[in-house]
Amino acid sequence: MNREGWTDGEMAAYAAAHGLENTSPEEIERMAMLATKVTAVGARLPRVPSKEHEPANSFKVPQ
Amino acid sequence: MNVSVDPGAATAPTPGWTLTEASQKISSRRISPIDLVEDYLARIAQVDARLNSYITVLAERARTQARLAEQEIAGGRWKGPLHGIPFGVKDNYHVAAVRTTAGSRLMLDYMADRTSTAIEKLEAQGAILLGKMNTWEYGTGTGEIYDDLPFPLARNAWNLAHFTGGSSTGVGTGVAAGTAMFGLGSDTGGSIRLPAAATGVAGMKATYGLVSRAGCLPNCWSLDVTGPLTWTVEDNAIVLQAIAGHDARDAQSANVPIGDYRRGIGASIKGMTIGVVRHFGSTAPALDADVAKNLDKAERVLREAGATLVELTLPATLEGYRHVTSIINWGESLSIHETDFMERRHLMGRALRDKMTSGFALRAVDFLAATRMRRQLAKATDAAIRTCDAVLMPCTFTTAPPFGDQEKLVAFTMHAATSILNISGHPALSIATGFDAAGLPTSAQVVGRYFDEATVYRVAKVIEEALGERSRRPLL
Repeated sequence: MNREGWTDGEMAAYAAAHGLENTSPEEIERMAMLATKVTAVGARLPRVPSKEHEPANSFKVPQ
Repeated sequence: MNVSVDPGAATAPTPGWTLTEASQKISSRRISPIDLVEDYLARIAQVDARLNSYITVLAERARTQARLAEQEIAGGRWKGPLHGIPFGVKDNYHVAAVRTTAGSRLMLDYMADRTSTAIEKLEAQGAILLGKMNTWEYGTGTGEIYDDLPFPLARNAWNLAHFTGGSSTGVGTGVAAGTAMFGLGSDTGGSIRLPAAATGVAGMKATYGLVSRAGCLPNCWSLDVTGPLTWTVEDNAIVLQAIAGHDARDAQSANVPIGDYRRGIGASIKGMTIGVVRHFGSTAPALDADVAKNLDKAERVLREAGATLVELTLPATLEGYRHVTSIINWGESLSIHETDFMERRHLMGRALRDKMTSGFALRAVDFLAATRMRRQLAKATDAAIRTCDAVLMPCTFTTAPPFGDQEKLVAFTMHAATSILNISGHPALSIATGFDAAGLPTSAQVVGRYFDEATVYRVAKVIEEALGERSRRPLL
């Protein structure tokens, strides 16, 4: 991905590498737009500084 | 056995009764569950071609249950306030041998083999299921309308050209219009409270884990909550009482004592401290004038009732909460529906396909960063809420927009103060606070401490009594 976001070519390659088949150029174009937005939101998300702070996952040992 | 009908009923059409009122009439045998169910089926026949609140109406099943309820009540076996009360559920709740479509072409023929726990509990207490109500596909949407789903759009009972709020689109408008006496919805980022706000009903997103989600199609495991939409606050407390409680079928079900949610309703709030949240960061939009005016009135009502109001600041902006919600939802939702996306996404509507695509492009490290941030935000939000007995804040920043205005539809959905409480897990009730100049309902949220739904209802009742205009119903 370049700084401006995902190109259609990058998106098509990514989709193919992850097994997504039968993608049309229009679909790839929209996927690239959405992927750019997702990447931006992920990048803007503040990071929790402490390495000890765990995710709010849902695994619990049965009690 | 026939149960005589109150002659006064002729001047009080069924949709005008609250659940509480109907229940009293049933228990004293002044109305019959059979007649009540027939009235609701007639109401559905009368208005639902325009309202589209239902996907599937279960008329014969409801009639059978109504006959059983009547026999039980006539035989002295009244089961409680929900006995004989007709209700609907968002069509993502499973009912054995009944199709669950979840509003999707992917599930048009899907039949579950077991009924959801919440419906099992309601039916065990004698409530009568009328049918499966309209929903956005898999509970997904940003508010944008693409007209690409297999069922027609639900329409707002107050103005059919206006939005119902999503994703429990049929439930709010159905309760407002009287096609169901109450309904069950599900809420990942606001999907109970947004329809409640749009249609002027009470919608409760209870504390995460209080109500079982077993048998309800998941949307996002760590944020999903199931709960009731009702005409009044008291009705809501009655339904929550029936469905709350631990369920081994739900991995996140909380094993906590269940309170008496009706006990405080009508009691004084004198001496309580109510936090008020009015600021959500520089990127949050301003409240519409009528929403703000009625929120001011709600503050005044609480103050006059003897509560002390304090300004409360949340630890993040609305946008900050929403980013965390979005990332978690994208990731979990794709995990839930990955096979559908990889193999049959051509059957998906655009809103769902977009969300799946967002999950597809999400980095694992960003997902984990969001879940780590979620824990921190929940802790800090709880620390703020814990300084008060309850909190008053906006629900949606506008009233329900018209269908043609995509920008306002998205703003109504995405710029609402709802996902904050999905991230933190606190109970939050959307209630009606009056109407705007165009006759559309305005709303507010009452928020409580974890598992203190009783106080939420107690405070909300004070506002409803003063501002809720529960005698005013949509004209259809």
